[in-house]
Amino acid sequence: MKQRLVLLACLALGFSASPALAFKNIAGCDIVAFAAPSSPVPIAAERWQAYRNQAETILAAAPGADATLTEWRAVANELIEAQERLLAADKTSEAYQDYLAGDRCRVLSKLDSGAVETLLDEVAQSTPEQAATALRRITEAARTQIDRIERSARFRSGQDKTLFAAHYYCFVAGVIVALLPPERQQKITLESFGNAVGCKEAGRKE
Amino acid sequence: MNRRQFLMSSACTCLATATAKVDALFAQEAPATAPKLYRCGTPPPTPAAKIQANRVITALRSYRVNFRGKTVIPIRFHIIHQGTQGYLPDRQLKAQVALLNRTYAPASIEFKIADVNLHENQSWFTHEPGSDAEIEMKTTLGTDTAGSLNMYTAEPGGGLLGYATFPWWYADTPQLDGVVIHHASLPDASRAQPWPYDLGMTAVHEVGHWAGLYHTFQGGCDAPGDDVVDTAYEQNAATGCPLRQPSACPGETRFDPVENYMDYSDDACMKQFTPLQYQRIKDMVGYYRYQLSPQTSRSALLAQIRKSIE
Repeated sequence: MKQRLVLLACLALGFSASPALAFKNIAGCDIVAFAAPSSPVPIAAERWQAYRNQAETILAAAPGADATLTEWRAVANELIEAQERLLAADKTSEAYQDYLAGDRCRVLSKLDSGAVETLLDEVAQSTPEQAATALRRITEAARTQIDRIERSARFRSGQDKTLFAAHYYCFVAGVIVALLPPERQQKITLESFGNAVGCKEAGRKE
Repeated sequence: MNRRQFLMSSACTCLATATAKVDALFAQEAPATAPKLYRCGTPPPTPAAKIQANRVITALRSYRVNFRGKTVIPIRFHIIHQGTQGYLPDRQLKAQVALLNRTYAPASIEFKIADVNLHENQSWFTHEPGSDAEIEMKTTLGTDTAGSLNMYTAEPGGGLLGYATFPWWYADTPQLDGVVIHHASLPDASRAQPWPYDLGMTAVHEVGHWAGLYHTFQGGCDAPGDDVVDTAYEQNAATGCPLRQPSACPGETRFDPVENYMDYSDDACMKQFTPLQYQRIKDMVGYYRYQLSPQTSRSALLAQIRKSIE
């Protein structure tokens, strides 16, 4: 109970202090890429485990079915912080910078609903029900959010639109991969989630 | 099933249930002396929302409803700025409204400036849609969203020129209703360096969404596309100022609608709405934004249609 209260307090703090661009983290695609055995930026198993534990804890404490979009954004902010913690130690490394500048760097330009559903089903088999359910809901919330924007916004170019959407899709992919079993994580690629394009093609600069 | 078949199929299904009530209701609602204005009539535009909008249109047609009168829409401008950045003089606002009036005249819609307010706020100035800053800005500033168009000017990030709320979102999130446009997108003949988006077409485009239109490339080549029959299926958004060329969609014999206000072409190349886009605007504004017209809000026929749909 105490742990839950502390987490909720952290969520509230994160919500009020965050830049509040929840559901957006293009580095989530890097997390998927770095889970592969041939990762350009190797991440130690303990850090993966810590990321998984954090994601699971955050999702297990997430509000229920009647939660508002604002509440889900608060949860998403916490998940993004966990993603940033996973990558923080390598963010400025040469390997990471080379990856970002090279052709191996890719981002999602589209999520495949069927593929995402299949992966969520896989997560449900190895994750506590509450966390798996929350993962479904936050995935849906993120997709809803970007769907709303894509349908109603004017971008300067198709590339800007692709990049904008990639932030959302990559966030989702980065969370889902966290909760897959380690052996499964290693077989996942961005294409397991949908269509991917090169970072340069998408205009990624960070 | 292509878009035409999809729409016909929806229409036939709805007609079967609605036709029986039509004559009596319409006679009751439209006596010979009545005014010409016979108005009847968030979740995101998920497939369910799109079907709902289609049902509205089908019901309006089956009840033989046509919105013939003029709708005057007051615009409440909220000029969000950061120092001198984003500040807009009156002449630009007037030029923008004049452009809106020219483009929306065939839908019998007239805009007029009701309010202009300046607000200096850094996080609102650079906010993105869906952010806390958007919600804070709109819940703080939004005024009479049922009876007017709240238009925010700011500098949204992420390559955005503007974004809007659809009319069918209004019931769930009335406080978020309105249009946000980039401050540099308003018409400005005095700009030292021309920008491809500074002729005011972003507001035209976003008000199109606010009035119920989708992008012409919505859904790519898949039915029902943008739900408007007289715009061609378009695989991808246009960029720059492309030449008209045949659609790349299989079975589509028409040209890509690159000159349509609801595409992504540069401002100088945006030139038109189609007749059925204008029709959809009238229908969507009349049905969902009925409080813009007091006559509509009192319409018994509107209430009847709403009851049959919802």
